[in-house]
Amino acid sequence: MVNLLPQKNIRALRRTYYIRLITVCSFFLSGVVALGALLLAPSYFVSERTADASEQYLSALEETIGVRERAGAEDEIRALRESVTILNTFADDARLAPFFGDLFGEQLRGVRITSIALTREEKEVRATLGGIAETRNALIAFGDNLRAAGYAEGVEIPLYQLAQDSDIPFSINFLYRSDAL
Amino acid sequence: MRSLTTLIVAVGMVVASCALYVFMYAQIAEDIERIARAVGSAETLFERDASIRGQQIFLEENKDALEQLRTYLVTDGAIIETIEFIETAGANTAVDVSISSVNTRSQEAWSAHEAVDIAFSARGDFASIAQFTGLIESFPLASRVERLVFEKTTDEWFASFSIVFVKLK
Repeated sequence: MVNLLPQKNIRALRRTYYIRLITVCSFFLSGVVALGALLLAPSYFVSERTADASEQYLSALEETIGVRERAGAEDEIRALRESVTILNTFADDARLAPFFGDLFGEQLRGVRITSIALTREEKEVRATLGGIAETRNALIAFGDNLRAAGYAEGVEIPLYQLAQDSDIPFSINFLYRSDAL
Repeated sequence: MRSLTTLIVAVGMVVASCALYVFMYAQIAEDIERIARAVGSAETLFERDASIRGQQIFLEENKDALEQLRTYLVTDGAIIETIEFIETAGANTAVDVSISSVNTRSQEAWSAHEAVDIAFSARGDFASIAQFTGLIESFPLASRVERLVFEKTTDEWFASFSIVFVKLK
C-alpha cells in the first residue's frame, strides 16, 4: 500500500509507534517482574525467620556444649591416652638389675671387675665392663663365657689388651639383652 | 515529549522491579546458605556432644581404675616423696645415697607429661648396691634407669645413677 504522507510525517509516526511499543513492553515486563517479586515475598520472610531461628538455636547449642568442654573431658582423655602410651613404653624397657646376677653367675675365675657402666640406648642397653685379668687365658675365657651366656651381644676383646701376659687391665663393650635368657 | 516521559517512567519501573526481584532472590539464597551452615554446624556439635558425653561417662565409670593408673605417675607435690623413696631404698639396703640433681625436662612427644631427671650416687658394698638397683627399678612408678656406672674404690663400690620418672604436668 502506498503511503502518501510526507516523509517527515512518516518518520514522526514511526518514532511515536516505537516509543509506545517500548513503553508498553516495559510496563508489561515491570508488571511481570514485580509479580515475581511479590510471589517471592512469602519465601523471603519464611527463609529470613528460619535462618535467624537456626542461628539462635546453634548459638544456644554451642553454649551448652561449651560448658561440657570446659569440664575438660577431652583434655583428660588425651592425657590418659598419653599416660597409657608412656606406661606401656616404660613397661617394655629392659631392667638393669638382673645384669649383676647374670654377670656374677658367669665364670669370673682369674678376672677382677673394677667398673661397670650400663647406658640405655633406645631399646638396648650398652654395657662396658672394666677390670683386671690375671692372665691372657683368664681374659679370653671370660670373653668366651660372656659370648656363650646369651645375654651379651657383640663381645669383643681388643687385641692390644692381650699385649701384657699378666695383670691385664681390660675394657669390654657389648649390648646387654636381659630378655635373651 | 509526553510519550518520552512515559517511556522513561516505564524503563525506571523495569529497573526498580528487577532490582527488587534480584534483592529478594539473593536474600533467600543467603538465608538458605545460613540455614545449611547452621544445620551442618549443629550436626557437628551433636556428634561432638555425643563424643564428650561418652568420654565423661567413661571417665566416671572408670574413676577408680584411672586413679590407680595415675599413682604410677609423679604428681607436682610428690617429687619430694620420690626422692624420699630413693633415700629410703638406700637406707634399707645399707647404701649411702646422695642426691646430686633433680630437673624437669619437656619431651617433644608428650603434652600432658614431663620427664623428671634425678641424678644420684650410692656408696656401699657391691651386693648392697646391686640390691639397691633392683629396688629402684621395682618402684611402683613409671621410671627408667638411663645410666648406671659402678666403680670399685679401695674398699667399697661407688655407683652413680641417672633415673627418669614421668610427671603429670
